[in-house]
Amino acid sequence: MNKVRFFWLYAALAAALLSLCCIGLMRGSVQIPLRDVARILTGSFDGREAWRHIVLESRLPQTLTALLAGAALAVSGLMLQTLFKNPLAGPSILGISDGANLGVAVAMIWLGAASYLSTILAALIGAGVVLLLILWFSRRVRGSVMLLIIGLMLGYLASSVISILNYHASADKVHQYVMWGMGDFSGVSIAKLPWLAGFVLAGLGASLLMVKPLNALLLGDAYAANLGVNVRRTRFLVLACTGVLTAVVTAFCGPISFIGLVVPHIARMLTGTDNHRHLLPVTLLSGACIATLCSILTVWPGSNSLLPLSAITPIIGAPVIIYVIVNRRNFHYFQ
Amino acid sequence: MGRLKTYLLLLFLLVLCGCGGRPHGADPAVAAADSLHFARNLSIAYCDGYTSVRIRDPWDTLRQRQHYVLVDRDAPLPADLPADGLLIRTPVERAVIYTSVHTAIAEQLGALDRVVGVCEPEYITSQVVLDRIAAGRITDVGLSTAPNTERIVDLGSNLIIASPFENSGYGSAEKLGIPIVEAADYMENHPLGRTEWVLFYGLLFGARDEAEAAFAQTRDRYFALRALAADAPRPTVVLERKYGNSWAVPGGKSYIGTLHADAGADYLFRDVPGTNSTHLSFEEVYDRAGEAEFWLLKYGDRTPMTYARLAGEYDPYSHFRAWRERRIFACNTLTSTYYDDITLHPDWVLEDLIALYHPDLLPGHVQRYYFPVDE
Repeated sequence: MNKVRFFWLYAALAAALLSLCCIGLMRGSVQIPLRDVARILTGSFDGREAWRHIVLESRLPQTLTALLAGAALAVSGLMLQTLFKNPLAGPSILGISDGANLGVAVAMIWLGAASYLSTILAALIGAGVVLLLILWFSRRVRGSVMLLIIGLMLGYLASSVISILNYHASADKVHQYVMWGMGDFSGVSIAKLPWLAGFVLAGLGASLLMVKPLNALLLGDAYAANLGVNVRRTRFLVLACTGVLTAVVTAFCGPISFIGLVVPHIARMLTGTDNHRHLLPVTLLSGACIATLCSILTVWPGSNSLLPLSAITPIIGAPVIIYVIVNRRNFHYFQ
Repeated sequence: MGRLKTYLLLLFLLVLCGCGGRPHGADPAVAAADSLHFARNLSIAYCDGYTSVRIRDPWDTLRQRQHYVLVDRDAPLPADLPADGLLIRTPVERAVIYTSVHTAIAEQLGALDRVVGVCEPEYITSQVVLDRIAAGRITDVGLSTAPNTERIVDLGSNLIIASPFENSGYGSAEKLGIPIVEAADYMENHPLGRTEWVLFYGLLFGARDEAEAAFAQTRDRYFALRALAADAPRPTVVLERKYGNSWAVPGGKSYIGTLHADAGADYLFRDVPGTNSTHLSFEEVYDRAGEAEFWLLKYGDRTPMTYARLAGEYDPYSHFRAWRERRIFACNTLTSTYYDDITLHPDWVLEDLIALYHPDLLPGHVQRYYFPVDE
C-alpha cells in the first residue's frame, strides 16, 4: 500500500469518526432539531434549557467517552495480539478486566458500597492488583504463551470468586452487579471526563512510542533481540501500557467485550499490513469509530427503550471474528 | 370501564374454575365463594369437600401454571377430585419457606408453629423468627436458589413455599415429592392484588379467618387513604434513577405506578406501557420529568443516600427541579422493612406517600419508608 492510499484511508477514517460523533450528538431518544444542536454547540442557543443540558452534559460526554474507550481498548488489543503472537488475544484475556470485575463485585456485593466513585476505585484496585501480578510473573516467566496462560488462570480465579459472591448475594445486588457488567458509556459525566481522557491519552501516546519495538516483536524474540530491542523491557512496557488502558476504561465504563479483540482485525483488513506504523493509528481510529457507532446503536432505531452496550458490541464483533477464523490462512500476520 | 373489566375477569375466572368439570360447577354457591377482586394470577374456588386454587402463569397469561387442590387433613378424600390438581392436605404442619416475605406473612397469620425451615435468615428482619432460628425451632435450609434438599427431607416437611422466576425450576427440590407452592404474588400489578394472596396462604396454614381479617383491614385502610387523597391537587413525580446506561422507569400499570396514582400524585410516566419497568435513556427522562415536583427513589445500602452521593453518581441529576427545591425522597430497602411489608401492607406504603405529597392530609404521620435525602 503506498503513501497516497494511506493518506486516503486516514482521511476516510477521520471523516467517519467526525460524522459518527456528529450523529452521536444529534441523535438520541429526545428529538432535538439539528439547527438547535448546532446552536447549542456554538453557544448561541437560547431555547429550552433542558435541551442544552441534554446535548452538553449527556450526549457530548457519552460520545467522547465512547471514542476514548474504543481507541484505548482497540490499541490494547492490538498490542497484546502482537505481544502474544495470537490473533485471539485481547484486553480481557490477561485477567485485567476480570480483576476489575472482581473489585467491583467485592465492593458492591460484599461491602455493600454502591456509589459511582467507590465502583471506579474498586475496579481500579482490582485491575491494578491483577496487572501487578502479571507484571511480576512477566519477569519470572520466559515465554509469552506461559504468561498468557497465567493471565487466563488469574481471570478464572477472579471469576470463581465473583460467582461465589453472586451465589450468596441478594437478588438486588446481583441485579446491580449485572447492570454494571453490561457496559456503559453514559456514566462518565463532563466533570469526570478529564480523568478518563488524561489516562487514555497518556496510554495511547505511550503506545505510539512503541511502534518500532512492536514491529520487532513480530519477527520473534530472538530476531528482536538481535535488532537491539530489549525484549523483556518491551514486554513489561506493553503490559503496563495495555493494563492501565484496560483498567481505566473498565473502571469508568464497565467491562466492554469484543472491541479490543475485533478492531485490530478490522484494521489489518483495512491496511493489509502488519507494520505498526500504520496499523496502530488505524486501529486507534477504527476503535474510536466502532465504539461510537455502538454507543449510537444503544438507542435502537424506531424504539425508545435502550439496549445494553454488551448486547451491541457482539453484533459487530462476532461476525468479524468468525470471518477471521474461517479465512485464517489468508491472514499471514502471525507466520 | 375498569369495573366492567373486573366483572369480565371475574366471569372468566369463574368459567375457568368450574369445579371438577361437573355441569353444576358454576352454581351460585361457588360463584359467591370465588371472591378475589384484585389478584389477576390467582383464583380460589370453594367446592364440595375441597378448595381449588389455580395460579395463572404471570409470564404467559394464557397458561395455567399450577392447580392446587386443598383438602382438610382430617377429612376423607372426596371421590371426584380434579385429576390435574396437586393435592395438598391442610392445614400444613411442617412448611419450608424460601422467602423472608412469606415467612413474615406466616408470622402475621400466627402460623409460625407450622414453619420448620427458612432460607437465607440474613434477610429476615423479624426478631421472633430470628429467635426461633436461634432456638433451633426453625432450621436454616440454605440458599433459596440452591436449598439443602437433604435438610428439607430430614425436617419431614410437607410443603415448600417458593417465589417463582420465569423459566426456572426448583432444582432437586422438585424431585422430593413435596408439593411446592409457587408464591407469585410479587407479579401482581395492583397493590391489593399482592395482598389478596394472603387468603391463599391463610388456607394453607388453616388460618382462613385471620387471613380474611388481615386482607379486609388492609383493603379498607387502603381505600380510605385513597379516598382521602382523591381530590387533592396532584403533584408531578418521577421515580427511581439511572442505573448503567438506562433509567428503569416503572410502567403506568405497574403496582408502583398504581400506588403513586392512588397516593394522589401525577406520575409522569403513567403512559409507559406494561406492568414492569421500561429502560429509558437519561435524556428522555430528563426531558419529560426534569420539572417534576417530587423525585422518589429506592436504594439498598448501609450508608444513607445524600445529594452529594447522587451528584457523584451522575452530575446532571442536579438539573432536576426536585433537586433544586430539595424534594428528593429515598427509601432504603436494606434498613427498612419495605419489601417485607409491601405484600401485606401496601396501605402503610400508601400512607407514607400521601404524607409526602399532601402533608396536610395526614398531620402527625411518622414516615416508615421514605425520608428526605440528606445533603
